[in-house]
Amino acid sequence: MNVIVVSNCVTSGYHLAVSSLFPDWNVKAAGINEAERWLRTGEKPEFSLFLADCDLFIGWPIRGHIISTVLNPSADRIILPELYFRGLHPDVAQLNNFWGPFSIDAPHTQTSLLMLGARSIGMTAKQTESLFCEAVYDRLGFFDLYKAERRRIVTQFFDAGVQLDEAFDWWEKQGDFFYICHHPRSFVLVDIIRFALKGRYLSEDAFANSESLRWSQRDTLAWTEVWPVYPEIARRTGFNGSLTWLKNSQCSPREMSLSQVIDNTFKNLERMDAAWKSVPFVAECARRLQM
Amino acid sequence: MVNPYAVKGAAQFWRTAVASIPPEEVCPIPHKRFVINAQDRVATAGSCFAQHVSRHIGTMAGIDFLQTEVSPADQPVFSARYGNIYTVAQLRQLLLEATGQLPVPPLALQRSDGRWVDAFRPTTYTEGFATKADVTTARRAHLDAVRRLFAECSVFIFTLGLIEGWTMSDSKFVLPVHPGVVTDEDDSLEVRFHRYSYEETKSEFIAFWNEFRNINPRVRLIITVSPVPLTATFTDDHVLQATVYSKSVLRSVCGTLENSISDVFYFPSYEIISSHFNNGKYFDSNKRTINEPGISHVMRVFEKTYLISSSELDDTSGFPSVNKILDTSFSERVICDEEKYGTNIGF
Repeated sequence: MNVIVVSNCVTSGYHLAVSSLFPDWNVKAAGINEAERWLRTGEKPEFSLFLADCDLFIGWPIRGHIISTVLNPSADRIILPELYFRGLHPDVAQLNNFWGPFSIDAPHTQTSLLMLGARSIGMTAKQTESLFCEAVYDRLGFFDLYKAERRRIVTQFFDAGVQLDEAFDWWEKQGDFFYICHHPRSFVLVDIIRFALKGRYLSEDAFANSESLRWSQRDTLAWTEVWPVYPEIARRTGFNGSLTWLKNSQCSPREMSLSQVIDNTFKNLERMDAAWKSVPFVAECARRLQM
Repeated sequence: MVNPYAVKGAAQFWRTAVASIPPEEVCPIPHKRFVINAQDRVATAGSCFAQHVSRHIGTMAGIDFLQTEVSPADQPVFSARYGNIYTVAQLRQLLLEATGQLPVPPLALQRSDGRWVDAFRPTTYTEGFATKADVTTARRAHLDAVRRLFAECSVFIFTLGLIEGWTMSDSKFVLPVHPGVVTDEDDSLEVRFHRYSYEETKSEFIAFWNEFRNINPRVRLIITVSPVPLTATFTDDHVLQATVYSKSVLRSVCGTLENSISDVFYFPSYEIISSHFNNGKYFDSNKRTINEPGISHVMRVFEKTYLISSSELDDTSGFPSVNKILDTSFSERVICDEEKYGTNIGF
């Protein structure tokens, strides 16, 4: 059985789960952008050959991508929508070309909405620090996001034939199940693969027996950046949050405090054209902070 | 030491949220939960208080009120002709019947005028039916309408009314009212009284919700507790004590459900009508039924919580606009630098 897994940064986690569940399968993987580039340039002919001959495709919605034209037309397709969850990290915003708190030697677009909003109306670092509280989160709708985000993910996966309600219930009991919006803990990826294959390639018994994989699979994203789940948000889902950011595990020190992240963000904003203040979510945040 | 309440907003303090504002402006939900938009199809069911909610929902601009069976003018307005559904067990039973998981029960009652009625909705057809067979035929058509309703709605509003109810003696079927209320001639039905506990009400609801989601994974459920006191209790308690106990159980279950199930949202009709801040002015002189100002207050809060106002027309996502704008920035691109994460395996 030749299987190809294609997705974004979660690809290796999906690949590990499929390989563990079916050690006899020949499972290969590629990132979606890289895969498309290979097909466009002809750089990796072995990738095209594998696609044309594979029996099962697992991953990214490929309609409209070059992959869909090369993939064996009779290959079974299990589509897994893009996975991101903002419910635990509603403050995370993306600003193009921004050198956010996780930047090392290149821009890192993820930053704090609250810090951008506060800076755009001239608040100091000290004043900005005081915004990290329940009343402000409430005013910005941070607490409403959790259920809406869960609903979005469950519905998107349901439309793709994967029922995640039960899995989600379990993830929630584990505390902070995403390191940052696009980076889940490994048990999330294991469960997505288990539920996607259940009833198709995994029997009921095999499905039940595979539960232990939730904890035994290597966590491929654990070494990457960690955005804290703020304490007031964490408490609503039953765990203690923090205000400590973690850089990539190769950095030392890895930890950053709230005041360090604010200082770093404000310093980097000075490098940017003032047009960042008119980015819609920054302007809207600023408006709400002034209400 | 820092006062931990210092970070709380105006809605969390009695003085600013209740005591210092006119009673009719009290809004016990501080912000929008989600937005019911033009694409949503809204269905309603529940106890007698739900009739008021349904009547207003049915006429609200911007709401597509889903009705798979239209009621005649002399009947309460619901999304189908099920009449009042007082208990959660009754609601679950209806769903199981409609989805073919429970056989259609042959429970026709003969009234003193000789006409037959459906024991599960005895007042829904005021004229009654000529024969028992007609009752069964009408029920089959009704269940088909109910099944479509459960499958097609995107928002379901259910008002929990009672924990006291009547079941068949074998406990297989739950009835909305004791058969003796409808007929004094038929002694063939053996029924028994049952008061549902907190645990039973909760587990009935969770079972209902799981079945509901199986046929309609997109649905969102708004639950509310009827503020209408019991007409009578079959327990030996004083009716006031029985009322407070019943409503407390229902309110507690709602709190647990909202906190534990995604897509279930509690709406505080009960608090608006029954709390002492309005000095009982929302009750009629019988101190039981709710007057129109009370209903209007409830529906104003409902509109504020779930409907879109002209100043918010840019936000149709179901959550506030900052989140919506941010969400667009997330969903439109793949943000990760894949190569960093070792995504190419075997090539």
